Amino acid sequence: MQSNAPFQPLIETNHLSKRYGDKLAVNDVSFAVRDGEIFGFLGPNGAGKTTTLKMIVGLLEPTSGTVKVQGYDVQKQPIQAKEVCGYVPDEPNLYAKLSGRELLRFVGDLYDLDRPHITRRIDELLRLFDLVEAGDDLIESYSHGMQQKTSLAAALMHDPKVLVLDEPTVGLDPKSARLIKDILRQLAERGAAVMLSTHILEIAERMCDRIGIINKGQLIAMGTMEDLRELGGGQGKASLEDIFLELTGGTEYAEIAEVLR
Amino acid sequence: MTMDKLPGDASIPATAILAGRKFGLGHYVWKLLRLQWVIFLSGLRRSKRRRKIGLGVIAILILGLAAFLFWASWALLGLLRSPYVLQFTDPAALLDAMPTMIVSFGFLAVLLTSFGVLLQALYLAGDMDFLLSAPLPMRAVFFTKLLQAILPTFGLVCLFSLPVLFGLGVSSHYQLAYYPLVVVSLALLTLAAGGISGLLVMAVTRVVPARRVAEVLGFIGVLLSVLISQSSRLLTDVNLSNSQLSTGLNTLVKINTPISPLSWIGRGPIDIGNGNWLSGAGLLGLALSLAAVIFWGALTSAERLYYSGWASLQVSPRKKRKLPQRSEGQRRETKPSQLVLLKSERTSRPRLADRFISSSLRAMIWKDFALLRRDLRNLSQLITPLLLGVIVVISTARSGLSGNRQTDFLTQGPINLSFYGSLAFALFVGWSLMLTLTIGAFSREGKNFWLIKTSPIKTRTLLLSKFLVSFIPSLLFEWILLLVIQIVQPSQIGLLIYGFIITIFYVSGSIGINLALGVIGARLDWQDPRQMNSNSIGCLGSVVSFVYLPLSIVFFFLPVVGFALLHLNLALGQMIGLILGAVFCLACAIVPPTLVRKRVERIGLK
Repeated sequence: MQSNAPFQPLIETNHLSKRYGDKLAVNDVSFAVRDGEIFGFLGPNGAGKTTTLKMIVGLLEPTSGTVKVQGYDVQKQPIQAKEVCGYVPDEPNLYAKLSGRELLRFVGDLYDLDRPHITRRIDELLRLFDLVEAGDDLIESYSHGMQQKTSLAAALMHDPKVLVLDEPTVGLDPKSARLIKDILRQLAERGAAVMLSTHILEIAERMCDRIGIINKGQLIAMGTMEDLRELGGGQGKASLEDIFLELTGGTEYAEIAEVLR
Repeated sequence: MTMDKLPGDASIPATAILAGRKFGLGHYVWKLLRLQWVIFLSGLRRSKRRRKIGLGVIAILILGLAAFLFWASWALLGLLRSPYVLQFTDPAALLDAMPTMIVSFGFLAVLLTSFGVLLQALYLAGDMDFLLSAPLPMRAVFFTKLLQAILPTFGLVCLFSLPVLFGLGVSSHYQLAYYPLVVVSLALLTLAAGGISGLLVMAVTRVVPARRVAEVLGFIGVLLSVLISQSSRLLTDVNLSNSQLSTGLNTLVKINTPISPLSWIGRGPIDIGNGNWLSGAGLLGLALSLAAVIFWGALTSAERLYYSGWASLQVSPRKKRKLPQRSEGQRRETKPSQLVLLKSERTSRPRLADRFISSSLRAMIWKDFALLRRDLRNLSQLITPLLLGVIVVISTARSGLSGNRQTDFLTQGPINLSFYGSLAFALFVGWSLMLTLTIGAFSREGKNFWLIKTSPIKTRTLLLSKFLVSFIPSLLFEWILLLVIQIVQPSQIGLLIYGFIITIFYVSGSIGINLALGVIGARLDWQDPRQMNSNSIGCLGSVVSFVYLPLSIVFFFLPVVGFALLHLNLALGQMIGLILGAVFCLACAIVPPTLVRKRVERIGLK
């Protein structure tokens, strides 16, 4: 296993592309996310965000290019890459006929964690996500938000070095959304790399150290908020929403919204 | 930046806005029914040619069936008037009760079948919110949903009952008014049954979640269909005496009691057909009014219960789990910062059990068995092979206990043919269970497969877990079958153990082949479990299993038969057969899964 040297990129994509028939969903995307960093991945609907995230966690095979997680090539060393990675999908499809506690135990076993520690960890996570009472109920009886929290708890079972989240706050109440933000910040402070896609620009603006904007499969901008402001016309006080709309060509919709007010 | 013109109100001419215009209920019901028709047509137009041809063939078959039923009912009515029936019951009373029996059967059929359709239409289709938020009267939505649920059943009821009722009319020379009145009666009866069914759906879903009800219904449906299809096999030894037959028929005739509204519907058209207009119109008018009141009452109640939230507010009788008492320190919430997993918490010293079976393999097997057991949709798929096995066991036991049918030739010849026959039979019975369990091993994961896919589980472990999840129950099933056969038709214990060993190899090979086919045909995007695997893979699995079975039997038993015929040492023949068969079966168990290993890595990768 490689040593955790400072500023080592934990997620690294090189000329990543994905083609579905004639459609190029992701086109030559290259970026790196280092340890201790929260990286926001933004883009309009159908821009290629989920496709990119799925290629990072090994759910989709890239048409070309490579993905490395903590130095491991996801294609060539999938087991090693997956051992350090946690993933929260946009749709929490979980085994409906397992209880939350059983699902977490199952995930703990998949990651070869010690039995006593799995039990302790499950208790911690259930308490953290306010799922203690529902822990022994079947997941099919959970609300969308509870399933989302269970999905995040499952991703945290093995204390991942890399956490990839696709729209993690969708369907969550404000308390849970805040909790997730706190958890992500804590993970980053402990040296993990966090990559999340979101449509909520306020979250990205507040939480993310760096932001990447993808449009029509191409990474059109990447950097800190300051970098993006410069890219978006150099206006000192421009919000991420302004920059995003400027870069993705959505300003006309903002004007329409103004007219309708 | 220039702004495009808003597509919206400015371009809508005033005449196109229909707000304020009043339409009747029929207008909206027609609109909604037309929408359903458009959806059906659109689906049909986009469907594959194979499906279109299939539907055409089904339509022709239904027409043929109707014609046959008409002819059969004529013949049946002739039989009912024959002297043969006279010895059991009064044919006139039986003929008189016939319409009531048919009407009662139709009522029950609609009540039961529309339950499932209404459950789907009201709770699972997911379009209720859309329809109820549209500017449509709520009654129109519910009326359409009810019609949607009962129309197919009404069609089937008509298909089966009209030929008999019309046949009765023709053979009894009823007046012309009889025929349309029969149709009207059936229609109103169906509406009433559908209405009651709607209320039942709401009452049930208040206690049990709709999806669970659907699973239970599916399970019961499969169970009933298997039992009905196998009823002839189960009832082979049931012989009814004349008195029993007579009692049965007389009980059936009693359904035509004058106080039953169903008998009013049955007798009304007959009275009119016979020219007794007054009594016929009275009975029919009373029954139809009652049916209309029931339908309208059920419709308005269902609408009210749904809108008030009663029908969607679940009152689960499940008890709340009592949480263990915790100290003040434990009661504190866990903070994100406390979630540090120490390095030492990862598995460093594997336990003794872990040296033989990894925790990921154990977890996969446990998870698959838990889901197989808990998900009734899985059990619905397995129930057919399981029940077939049970029926075979019962038949074998019954035939064994009711007089030993074995001949000396079979048991006391140079080789115990009875035993080998039973063994081959047991292998045959188990194949469909193995096929169902194994072909869907990967597809059963469905949309949850991402969790496995993103975890560090090796392909080898994944394949092994799926293999074992199919292997263990299949082997147990075969062994139980052999044990029952042993109890019914005892043979030497040595032979039984020999049979046990053979089944281990046979099951391994069968599962190896079908697991590979399951990998090739894996589908994760199914909604309905019946769509888990493509039909072609299912067929291929059956064909391959049918080839594999005789081949393995040849390898296992041919040397035994050869040695017996040549008067050589039988034990040696058995040993050679066992080795040959084991090599063949193990090759089938190992080679196909190895060949598809790379494919396993690609399942779900699109």
